[in-house]
Amino acid sequence: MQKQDETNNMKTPIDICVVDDETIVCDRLKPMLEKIGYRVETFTESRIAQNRLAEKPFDILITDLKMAHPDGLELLSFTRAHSPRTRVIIITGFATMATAQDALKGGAVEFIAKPFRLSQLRELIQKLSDDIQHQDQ
Amino acid sequence: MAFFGKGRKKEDVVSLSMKILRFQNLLKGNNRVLELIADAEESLGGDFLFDMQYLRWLALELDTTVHEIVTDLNVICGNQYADLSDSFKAVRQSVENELLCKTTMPEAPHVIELSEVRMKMADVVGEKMARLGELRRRLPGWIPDGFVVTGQACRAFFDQPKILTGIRAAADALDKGAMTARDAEARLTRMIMDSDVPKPVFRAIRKAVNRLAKPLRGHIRFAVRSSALGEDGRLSFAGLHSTQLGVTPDEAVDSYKQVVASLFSSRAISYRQVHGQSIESAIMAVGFMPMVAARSAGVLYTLDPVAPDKNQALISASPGLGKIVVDGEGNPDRFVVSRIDPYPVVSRAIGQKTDRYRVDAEEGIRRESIPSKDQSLPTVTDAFLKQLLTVSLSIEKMMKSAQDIEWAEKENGDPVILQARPLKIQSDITSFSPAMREAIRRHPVLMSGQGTVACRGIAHGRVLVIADSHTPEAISEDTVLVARYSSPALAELASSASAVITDFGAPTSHLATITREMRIPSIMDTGNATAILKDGMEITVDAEENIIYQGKIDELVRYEVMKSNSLDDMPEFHILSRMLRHISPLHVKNPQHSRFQPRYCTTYHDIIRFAHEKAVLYFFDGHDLVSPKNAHYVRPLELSVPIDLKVIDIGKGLLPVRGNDRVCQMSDLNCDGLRALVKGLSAPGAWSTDAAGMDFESFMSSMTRYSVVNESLSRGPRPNLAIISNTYLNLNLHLGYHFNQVDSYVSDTRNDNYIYFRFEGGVTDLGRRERRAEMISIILKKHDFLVDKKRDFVVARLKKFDRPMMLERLRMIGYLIGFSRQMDVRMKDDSMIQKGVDAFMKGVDINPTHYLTEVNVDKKISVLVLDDESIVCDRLKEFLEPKDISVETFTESDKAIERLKEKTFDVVVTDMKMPGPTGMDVLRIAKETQPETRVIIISAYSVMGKLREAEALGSYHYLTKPFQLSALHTLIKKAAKHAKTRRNKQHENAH
Repeated sequence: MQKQDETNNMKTPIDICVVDDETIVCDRLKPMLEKIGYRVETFTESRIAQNRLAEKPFDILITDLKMAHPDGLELLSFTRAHSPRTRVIIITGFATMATAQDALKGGAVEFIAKPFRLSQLRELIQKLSDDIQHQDQ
Repeated sequence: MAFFGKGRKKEDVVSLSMKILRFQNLLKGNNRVLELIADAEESLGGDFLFDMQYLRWLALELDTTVHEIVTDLNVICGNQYADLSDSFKAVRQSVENELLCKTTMPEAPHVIELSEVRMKMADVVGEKMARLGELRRRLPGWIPDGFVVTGQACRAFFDQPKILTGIRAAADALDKGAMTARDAEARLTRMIMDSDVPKPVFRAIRKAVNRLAKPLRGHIRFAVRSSALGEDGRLSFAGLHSTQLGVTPDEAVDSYKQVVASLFSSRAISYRQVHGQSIESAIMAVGFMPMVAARSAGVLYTLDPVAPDKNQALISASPGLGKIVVDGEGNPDRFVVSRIDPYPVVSRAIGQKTDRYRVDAEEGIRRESIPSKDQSLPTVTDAFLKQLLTVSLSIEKMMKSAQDIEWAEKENGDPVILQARPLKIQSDITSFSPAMREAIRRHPVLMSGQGTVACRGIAHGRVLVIADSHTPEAISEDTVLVARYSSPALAELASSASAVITDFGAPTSHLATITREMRIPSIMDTGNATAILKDGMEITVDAEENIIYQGKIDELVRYEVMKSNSLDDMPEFHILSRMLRHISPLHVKNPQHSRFQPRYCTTYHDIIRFAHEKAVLYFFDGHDLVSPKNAHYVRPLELSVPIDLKVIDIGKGLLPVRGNDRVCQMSDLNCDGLRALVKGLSAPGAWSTDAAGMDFESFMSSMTRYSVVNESLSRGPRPNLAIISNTYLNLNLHLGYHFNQVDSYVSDTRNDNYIYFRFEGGVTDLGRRERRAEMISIILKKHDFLVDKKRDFVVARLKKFDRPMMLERLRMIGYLIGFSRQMDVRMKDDSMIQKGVDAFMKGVDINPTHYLTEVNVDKKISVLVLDDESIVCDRLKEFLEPKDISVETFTESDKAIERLKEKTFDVVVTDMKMPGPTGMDVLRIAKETQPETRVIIISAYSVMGKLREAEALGSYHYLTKPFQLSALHTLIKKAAKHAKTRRNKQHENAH
C-alpha cells in the first residue's frame, strides 16, 4: 500500500486564471483544478480577463491562443509586462502548433495542444506550482 | 532495377508503379483515419479536453484524408468505384450537419414500448423517457409499464402542410416581433387541437393503448407526460410542458395532442426565444404510463441542494396522487433522512393535509377532502422511507447525479418511481472544500496512476474479480468489476457495474467503449489490478485523478453526484457522439457479403475499409498483374512453407534475374525485411501442420459465418503478395481465413524505420477470435509494439528502432503469423490467452526475443543516477540497492559526465532539467563514450520538443514524474538486458 503523494500539499493556495472563449474549456478546467486545491477564476471574454489580470497577480495563466481581441499572444505580453512572475500556459488547437511555438519564444512557459489529456495539464501545473512554492521559500 | 525489364513499354511501367505509390498513400491514409477515430472515441470518455475547434479540425482532417483515399482507390482501379465518391459526399454532409447541429432525426417507429427504451435513445424518445426506460431496464419492478410516442411521430404530425405552414408563419412573426408568445400559443394550440394526427400515428397509439387496457377491461387511466427532444443540461424544459392525468383509453389521442401542443405554451416559447432556439425545431415525444392508484405520493431529492455537505435526502409526502406535492399546493409532510445506511430519519415535519387527489372512473382524477381526524397523521412510515431512499440512491448511482424523483406508494405499500431527473445543485457549493480534501487524504491509496482512464468519473462499490473460468450472470450496481482482460464478453455485465478496471486492454477496446456509452468510470491497462484488488473489498474509484482508494469516501461519492457540469450537459459531447455515428461504426465488414458495395458505405470507416479491401484486391486480381505484359514484375517466391507467395519488386528488392527463371529463391531476395519475416515464418514450430481440432460449437459457428466464403474457396485460395524494395515491404497474406498485413520500412536511417502489422479474421465465434487477438496484442506489446486492438482486429505499430532491432521484430512477426494461424480454435476461454502467450514466449524452436531474454544477467546491473535533488538520488539508491543493483548517484551533472568517461554502466538514469549540463548533454556524452549503455530520462513533465530530440539521440526511455518506483525498476532491468546483450555481441564479434 502506498501513501498518497504530496500532490495536494499546498502551503499557499495557487491562483490560476483560465481564459478561453469556448465555454467548455472553462467549465471543465475549473472543477478539475479546484478539486486538486487550486483557486481558479475563468473567463470566456479575454477583455474582461485582461482587466482582472491588471488588478490581480495570478500565479498561473492558462489561455487559449485564438480569441477575439485581445488574443492569447496579446494577453501573454500584457501579463509579461504587468506581472512578470505569472507563469503562462498557452492552449492551442492542433492545427495552430506553429503559432504556438512562436508564443514560446514570446516567453510562455509551455504550450499544450487540444485535445489533451487532463492528466497532462495537471502534471504541467503541478510542476509549475512546485516551482512557485519553491521560490516562495 | 529489376522493374525496368528490357523491351517493356515505359508507360505500362509508370502506370503500375504509380498505382503502387497510390496504394502506399492509401495505406497511410487508412492508418491516419483509424488513428483519428480512436482518438475521437477516447475523447468521449472525458479524460481529454476538447472544444468546437477540435471538432471542426477533426471533421476537416477526416474529410481530406478519406477523400484522398477514395481518389487513390479510383486511380488504382481505373475509376471502377466512382460511386464511392457519392457515398463519401453523403457521409461528409452528415458529419457537417452534426457539426452545425442540423441534426437529422434517425429512423424510428411511431411508438416504442418503455421496456425497449434505452438511455441512448434520447433523440427518439426525449431525454426524460430515455432515462426512465434505462432505469426500468436496470431496476425491474420499480417502474411502471408504458410506452412512448416518439419524436418521429410528432415530426410526421407537424409535417402536415397546414401545421408546417402555421408553425413557420408563427416563427417568422415571433422573430419579427409581430406576434406575442401569448398569441402564438393561442393560434398554434388551436391549430394542433383542430388537426388530426396522421393515420399511422393514430393507429400506433390506439394499438399501444389497447395492449395495456385490454387485460384490465378498459379500467385504466394514463398519465400522459411530455418528453421534449433536444433537452440537455443547458436546455431543460422542466415544468414548461403539460402533463395530463387520469386519461381514459378513449381520450388518449386528444391528450397526446394537448401535450404536444404544450410545446408552444407561451412560457415554453419565451424560454426558447431566450435561448435562441426557433420554435420550428421544437419536437416532442410523449410518454403514456398507466396510473398507479396511489395511497400516497410525493417528491424526493437524493441530496439537499442547499446543504449538500450534510449528506441528507429530502422527502415530501402527501396522501393520494402526487399532484398536490408537484404543484406545490397544500401542506405535505416533510422528512429529512440521512444518506448513511440504515438511513435514519433526522427530522420530520408533519403537515396538515386537507385534500387529496384520487383516480376516478368518471372524472379521470378527483379532488376530495381528507377527514379532519386523519389530516395530521404521518403519510408514510419510516420503513417505507428507508425502502424509498434505498432505491433512490441506486438511481442516483446509475445516473451519476443527484436526483429529483417523483414517487408514489402503491396500495400494497410498495414504492414506485414515476419520474427521475437530475437535481441541480448551486455551483458555488459544489466546489471541493479543503475539508473534503483533508478527509480524502486520510484514506489509504491502493493504486495510483496505473493504466489509462477510459471513462472519467468517480464510483464506489465492492470489488468483484472476474476469474478466467466463470463469469456471473448478473451483478448489482454496487459492483466494481475487476478483470484481467478487457474482454468484450464482459460488456453486458459492465453496463450494470459501478466501475470497471482491467489489467490489460486498450482504452479503445469494445469494453471501454461500452463504459463510455454508459458513463461508467473505467480504468484500463493497469497491469496488476487483479492482484491488488480482492473480491469483496470496498473501494472508491477516482477515475479523474486515476486513484483507487480503500473504503468508501463519502466526500468523493457526493462530489460526483452534485457536480453541476456533467459531461452529458456539454453540447460538445453530444455533437461529437453524434458525429461519430457517421464516422466510426463499421457496417461493411465481410468482403464476401452482397452488401460489400459503395452504396452501403455509410460511415468514413466503411469507406476506408472498402477502399483498402478493393485496392488490395486489385493487386491480387487486377488485370495489370495477370496480364502477360506485367508477368515480368510479378514473380513467385519459393518458400519452405506451403504458402504461394508472389513478389512485385518496386526497387532493388530482388537481385538481377539470372537466365530465364521467373521463380525466385530466397537467395535472390535483396529485401532484408521480407527475408527476416520468412525466416520467422518458416522456423520449425511456427508452422505446425496439424489442423487444430475444432470442437462442434466452433465448427458450427464457422459454418454459418463463412458459408459464402466456402464457395469462393473452391476456386482455390487467393495468391499472397509482397510488394518489396530493398527497404520497403508490404506483405498481404491470406492464410485460410486470416488476413495478415505487414507494412514496413527498414533502413540505416533509424528515424525512418517503422513496422505496421495488421491482423484480422478467423473462422470461429467472436469470443474466440477476440481472445486470440488479445493474445497477439500481449505478445506484440511484449515486443514494444504500440497495439490497438478492436474486437478481433489488431493493429500494431513500432517505429524508430535501429535496423537489427527492426529485423528481429519482423522475424518475430513471421513466427507469430505462423503460430497464431489456427489459434482461435483453441481459445476456448480466457485462460487460453495467457497459455498462448507463454507458449509463444517460450518459443520452442525459435526465440524471437533472444535478443532481450536469453541474456546472461548474473552480473550485477550497474546504474548511474543523476538528479540535482539529492532526495531523489537517495530514494532511488535506497530502493534499487536491495534489488541487487549497484547504484552510483550524482547531484551535479559535470561530475556524472566525468564518471561516465571512466566507468561503463549498464544504465544511466538522469533528470532532464538541471543547472549546468542537462539530461540531453549527459545522453549525448553517454552515447559517445559507451554506446551500449541505455539511458532513461526522467522529466518532470512532457517537454515535447526535448523528448523528441532525446528519442532521436537514442534515449532508451523516458519517464514522466511522478512515476512509480516499480515501473522504474522494470525499465532498468529491461534496459540492462539490452545493454548487456549488445555488449556481449560486440564482444563476440571482436573474437
